Amino acid sequence: MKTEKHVLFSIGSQMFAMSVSDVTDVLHNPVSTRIPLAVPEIVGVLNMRGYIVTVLDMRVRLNIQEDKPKPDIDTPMCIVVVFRGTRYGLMVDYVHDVVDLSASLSAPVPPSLDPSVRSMAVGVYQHQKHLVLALDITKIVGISENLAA
Amino acid sequence: MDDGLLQDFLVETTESIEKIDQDLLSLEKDPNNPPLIDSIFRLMHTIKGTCGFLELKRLASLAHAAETLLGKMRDGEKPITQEPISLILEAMDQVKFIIAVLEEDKVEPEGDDNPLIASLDAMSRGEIGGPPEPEAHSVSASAQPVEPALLESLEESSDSEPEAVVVSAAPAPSLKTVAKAPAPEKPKPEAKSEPKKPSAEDSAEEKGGAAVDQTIRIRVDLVESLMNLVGELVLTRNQLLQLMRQEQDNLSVFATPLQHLSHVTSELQDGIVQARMQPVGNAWKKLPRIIRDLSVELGKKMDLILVGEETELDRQVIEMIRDPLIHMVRNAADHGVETPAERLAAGKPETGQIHLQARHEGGYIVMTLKDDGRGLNIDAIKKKVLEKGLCSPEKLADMEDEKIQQFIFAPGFSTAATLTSVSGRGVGMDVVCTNIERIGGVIQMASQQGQGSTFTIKIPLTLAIISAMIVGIGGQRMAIPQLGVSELVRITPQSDHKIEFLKGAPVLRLRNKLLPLVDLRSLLHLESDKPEGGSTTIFIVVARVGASHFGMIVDRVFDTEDIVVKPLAPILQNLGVFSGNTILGDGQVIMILDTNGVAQTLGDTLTGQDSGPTTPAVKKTIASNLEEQVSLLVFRAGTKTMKAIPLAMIARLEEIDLKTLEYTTDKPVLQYRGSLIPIVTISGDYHLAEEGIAPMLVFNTKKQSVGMIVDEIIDIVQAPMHLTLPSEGTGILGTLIINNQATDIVDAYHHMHKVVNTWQDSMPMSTKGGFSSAASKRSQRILFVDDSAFFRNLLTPMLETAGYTVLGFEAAADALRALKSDPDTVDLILSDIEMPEMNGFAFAKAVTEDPTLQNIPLIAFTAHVNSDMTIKARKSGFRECVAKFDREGLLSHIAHFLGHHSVAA
Repeated sequence: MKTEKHVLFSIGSQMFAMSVSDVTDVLHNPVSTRIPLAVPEIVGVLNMRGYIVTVLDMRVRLNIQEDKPKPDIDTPMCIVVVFRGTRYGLMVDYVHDVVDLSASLSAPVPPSLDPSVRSMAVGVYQHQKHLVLALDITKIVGISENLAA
Repeated sequence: MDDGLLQDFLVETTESIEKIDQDLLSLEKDPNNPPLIDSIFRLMHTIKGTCGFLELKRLASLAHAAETLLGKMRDGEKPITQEPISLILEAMDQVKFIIAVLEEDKVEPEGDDNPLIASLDAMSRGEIGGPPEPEAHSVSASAQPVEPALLESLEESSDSEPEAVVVSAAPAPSLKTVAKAPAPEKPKPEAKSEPKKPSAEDSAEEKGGAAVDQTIRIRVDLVESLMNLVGELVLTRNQLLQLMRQEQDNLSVFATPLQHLSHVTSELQDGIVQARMQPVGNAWKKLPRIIRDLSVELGKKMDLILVGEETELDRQVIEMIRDPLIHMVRNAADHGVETPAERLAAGKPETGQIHLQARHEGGYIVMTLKDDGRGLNIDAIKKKVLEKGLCSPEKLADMEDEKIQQFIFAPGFSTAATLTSVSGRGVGMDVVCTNIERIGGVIQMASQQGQGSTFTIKIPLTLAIISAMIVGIGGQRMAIPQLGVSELVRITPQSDHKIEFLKGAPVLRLRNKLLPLVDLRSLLHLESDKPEGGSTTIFIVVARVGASHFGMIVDRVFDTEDIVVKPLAPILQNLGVFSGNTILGDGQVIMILDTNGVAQTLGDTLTGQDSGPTTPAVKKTIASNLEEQVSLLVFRAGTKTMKAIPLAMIARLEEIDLKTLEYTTDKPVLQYRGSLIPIVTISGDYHLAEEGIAPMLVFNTKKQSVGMIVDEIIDIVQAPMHLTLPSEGTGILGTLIINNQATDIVDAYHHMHKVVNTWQDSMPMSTKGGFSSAASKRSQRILFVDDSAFFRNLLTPMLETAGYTVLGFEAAADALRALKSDPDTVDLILSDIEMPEMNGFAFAKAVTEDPTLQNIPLIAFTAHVNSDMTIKARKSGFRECVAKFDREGLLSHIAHFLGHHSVAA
């Protein structure tokens, strides 16, 4: 059974997964510089070991209405990915484990899902009693690129 | 075939062909050079051999035919003249074409080159290609099928239209011109730098010779990756140094090694930057050939002079300027340089000079392209601008030549009557400009009609590292590239320079020019970080865009640094105001502003082009207010408030001895120049001192003079007629800020009107001749249009004092409507020129075109009268043009036209 390593993360009460092949780092509570005039889903830019990482707010990106976790208790995490040579940081609430997921075990994405989320999802997994939505990096970032064009 | 083998072949052969190209051109100028022809032959021989070995049949046959011809030339059996060289160059172009296809498809293209080979063979046999022969035409005719490919590879674009190419490539006329010259004469274009090369390179070419090759080949992507790593090393080093500065005491043990590391990093950086540097000559390689071919094709004589080709430049930058340069050189040859006949007629030497020079200048490389041709044709540009609707006729008429020239950089612009295959498929200078700006460079142009044009390009040595000014805007730091910045202005509450507002838009008066400003903080929606009531010092960064300047308002200026430019993520690239971002020494990421992008937010106020969101009204106002600068006499009278009156209204300034004042019915009068004039004061009361000397302003009305006694004359100043506060009381037209002081503009006529009327009452007889009662004149009605309340307030009383009834309008459109509805009520029309929406000229035209209104005399009214203005005014239908402060002139013209009118009626 061919498995692929995925990193699990959550925003609000929802769990997501992403293939680790594109992930380079996970940052803890990063501070970024705001970018004037940018669309709301762009939090800003930050410096990571000399690379400039453009930070996206996944909450906005995935259109999740749930409240943010309290800032004094929990701090946001940032999953840094590389896409076509540019580094992007995805702001999420928590980053959990890296697990093996097998594509053959995934269920198709339910049509009832929010269209903007659907466009980024590639499958649904069951993991330890949670339903996990697997996302495709190309769709997460690529669509943003198109938005800008 | 093995891919690696093919790759090597392609690289080597491409280099060889380039060399053959260059050497052939040198040979043309210097035919008596056996080592040179030898070297060319050997190169061709090698190519032929390799092609044969790799079973590239098409290339092999072509190379073989060329080699044969070269052999004949080498052995002296064939004279080395323009014809064989042209043919071999043709053959080389065909080889380039085949190689291009080979690289793409891994196989040679289908077909053969038999016509070309036949020509080569025929020439080898001596059947063709000697001095002038009609057969020359048929040679080229049969060579035609090859030409689309030839010109295509020359031009490196894939959308050539075969018909256009063949037509313009007709060598027949040009061959004739060439043929006229005796064979041994040197051909027209000369790349003067070339002669030096053959000898040096010859020795290097010695097979297995003494010269050891000091270079190695290295893959470009490897160099790129090294460059990136070094860039990051530099940034990390900067961070460490920053930390060291902050924590000096705690980290002292690191100091020395860190210092050493820093030193080594700097050297490494320099080294890597060097590695990517190449001589700019690499971008110039194709130019001599292009000029040569153009000379032949266009029948013009041209010299291409290259200076400074060893100047080094980053490889990437070279790639990006190669095409723009080719385009510009083509333009110079095609549109700039005239035909020999035209040149001789103009008193110029027959051979046109195109001069291309490169040099280092303060961290940049400056390239100038200069030709001594016919320069830019202003009229042709104007015509094209109007055709394409890029600007309104009125704006164009007012524009300086220099600004009109800038239109060639506008998108979609091309003045070529026919798009020749040579320099334009409507590609145009705007693409050149964009490409140059993309690499962070600037391009400027100067041109003199009849004398030639000079283009100056300034580009940074490397794309990656630029010099930038770090500024603070609303608490955030940003970088502004140093290249476009011309100066920095500091504005404090005490400084002479001030930000003024014209119809809501901020401007700065800098050395008599009005500079439009961009408030970066509001543009970027940032909050102010200055405490309330804190320092109000701000800075204005003056930047140049094209031929104009503008300013950016920032809160703070930190320093200038060399920064490594990192491109924006694709999702951010649509934000036109940013061109990239960078990491500062302290690890913070900041945005880099794009000067051009910011300038564009100003709309059309800079470029003078009509499109754009910013209203033409704003621009017109700026322009018109620029004209309407007025001389004001500033004085004190009665109260502490400064007062002023337009100087032009004052007839004389006198000093009088208060003892000489006399009183009539308690009103003061003065014997002045043979008549008795009434005296007024601003305050209206006549309790003047009994003794002493006081300044007096003398005004002349139509009827008589009036003297106004004031306390003290302060100064005469120039100020734009923009009222900060409109008038609230009578007697005052409004308030201006002059030299930081609020100054009331006195309505002089208000004061005089009072006096003159009462005077009339109390003294029915005038002591000055020419007095006529206002009542006895039929009150004639004047329609007065002026968008400035100031002038309406100023002139209406004056005209009324003179006995006319005045109908005032702010907008010409309203005036026109009123006129049309009631044409008989108006005897004369007085109109301002510079007005938003409908200006004076348009208004006059509308009036004269209406049959019910045609007979009403029109007088134009403007701040500055000159012959141009008068001519334009007359053309639009005005009878006369009068200066705004010329009361005498105005009144006499009005009288003239009204008198004339009544006689006619």
